[in-house]
Amino acid sequence: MTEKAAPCVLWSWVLVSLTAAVPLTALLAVATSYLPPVWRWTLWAAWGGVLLLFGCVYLPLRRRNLRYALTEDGIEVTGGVLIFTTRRIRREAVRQVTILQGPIERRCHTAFLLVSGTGGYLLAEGLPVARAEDWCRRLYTR
Amino acid sequence: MKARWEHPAAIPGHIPYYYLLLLLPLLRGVRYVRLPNGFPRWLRGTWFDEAVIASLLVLSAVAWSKRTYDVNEHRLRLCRGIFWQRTTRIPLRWVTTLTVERPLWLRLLRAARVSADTDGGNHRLADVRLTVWRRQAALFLPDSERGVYLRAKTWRMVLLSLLSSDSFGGVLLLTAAVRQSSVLLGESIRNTVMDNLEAAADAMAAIPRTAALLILVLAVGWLTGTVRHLLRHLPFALCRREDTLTVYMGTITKRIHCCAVGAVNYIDIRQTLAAHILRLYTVYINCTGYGKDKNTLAVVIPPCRRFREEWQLLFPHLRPCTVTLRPAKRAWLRYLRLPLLLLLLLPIAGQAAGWAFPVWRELAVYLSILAVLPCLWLGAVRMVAYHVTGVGYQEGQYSLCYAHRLTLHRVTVPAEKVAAVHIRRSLWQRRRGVCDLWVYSHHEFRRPHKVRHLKYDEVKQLLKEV
Repeated sequence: MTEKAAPCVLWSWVLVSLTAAVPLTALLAVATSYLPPVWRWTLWAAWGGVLLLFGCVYLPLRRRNLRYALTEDGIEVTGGVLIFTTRRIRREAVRQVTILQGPIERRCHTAFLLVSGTGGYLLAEGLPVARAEDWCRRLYTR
Repeated sequence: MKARWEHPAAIPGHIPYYYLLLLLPLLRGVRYVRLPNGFPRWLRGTWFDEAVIASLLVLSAVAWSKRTYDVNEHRLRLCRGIFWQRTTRIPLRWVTTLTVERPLWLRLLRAARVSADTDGGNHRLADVRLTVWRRQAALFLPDSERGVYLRAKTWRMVLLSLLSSDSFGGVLLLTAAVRQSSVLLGESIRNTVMDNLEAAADAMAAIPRTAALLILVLAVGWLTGTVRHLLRHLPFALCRREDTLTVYMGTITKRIHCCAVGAVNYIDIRQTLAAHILRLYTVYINCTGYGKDKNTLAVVIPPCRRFREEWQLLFPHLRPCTVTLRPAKRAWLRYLRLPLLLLLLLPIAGQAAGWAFPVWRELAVYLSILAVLPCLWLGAVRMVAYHVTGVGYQEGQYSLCYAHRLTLHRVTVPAEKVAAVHIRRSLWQRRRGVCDLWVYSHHEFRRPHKVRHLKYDEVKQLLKEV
């Protein structure tokens, strides 16, 4: 059964991106204060454009393409914007399952499911909490 | 079981996670550097820096209060995080190694550090690391007292430390120690150390002074590394109970490692050239989590001549099988290619450096002669490797003998722990009908056992039989 990411995952990504953007913007502010005004405003405009493109185009497309599935064999995550990837961890390889919830997820009753296996890990973002708990239980009982 | 908090000694451990906040005082400082009369203005706003440091401490305390764990006979659950709340569940049957560490400062506070590791997760750090009260740490350890106990004699641990000591690591440790001592106790400590080193170098009259200093520093570093290994591993004892292997070690920091015997990926008998000449065997295991700490060796049987009795007691289900496939007869040149090439190039490089820098001519020539010694050593290791390299398969176990850098390995891998087998052939190898066999065992990351220059047809035949 294939699952789509909940819409509120988008806000979560925006929050994370903004958190990352704040120190970068602060660094840019310090760096551009040494530049002539023309260069300063050009850099600021470029930075704004990058942020806008990221928030309005990249993140919605990423959410639209995300798919999750828990099968008999294991757990699978498909997604990508320019390059589509499918990551799969076999049930036998699963070693740890972590449920992550930020402030937005707690409000929307969703969660991220981080599954670590012997060969790597995968992250299923924007799952309803009940489903995340259920998948967690099903991955343990094999 | 209800959720428990960690020991309060864990609070300082959370501070590094919030170091990013220190960027704010830094940025404030950078802003005032450019302004005229900046320093007094910066000084007036130091309340902001103090508030950031206070918030760092408060956040660490809050992070500690939000970090809880509970453990029962089936699973370990860890909840953590202030903004991002994470709940990790690990069934205890998937835990490969459980480590209880008691450094001196934690022993004084009646605390212990518990680490649990599985075959998944971070390959550099333990998957779960908790600082708990001492009585809580006991809950994690196996309670059965029955089992086979083995205690390693001190001379074996001294040998292990001598054989596995790392000169460069020792030099780094020594440098840091001298530097810190000179900061705390004054420059006289550093001057005394330097004076003594220089006096010892002057005493070695036959060798140029710089080369003598280099040799002395490396020798002292090697000895320091040996002492550090000894403090870390002595006293060393083992206990095999049902399906767990418990290792006790450490003088200042006491450590107990509980490894699940079923989770042991392979057993490795290692020998350096010196150990090979002395016929000393050291047995290591690969069990995720054991030996993951920096400077901890995943050893189970310290150096000895007759290791089979102890092996039989610890791992009765595994036996090193005989090697049936050997490298091709004409492959000896391939084994000796690198040391021969280095032996040829080093004197030329030394002479060239002497011509290019006439002031350093004597030292360059001397160092190039000194560098020949490790090349000869490598050549000897490669020669021995050519004679011992091979592959065997018997009763569901692979036996892989090969050399990696300056160490000889004899690895026993159960077939069910083999993740992949690759046969690799270069153009030269195709012409000669030989190949390299790469065996990947279960591990947190991909690291193959490489057995080189075996006969291709024999390898194909062996894999067909397997």
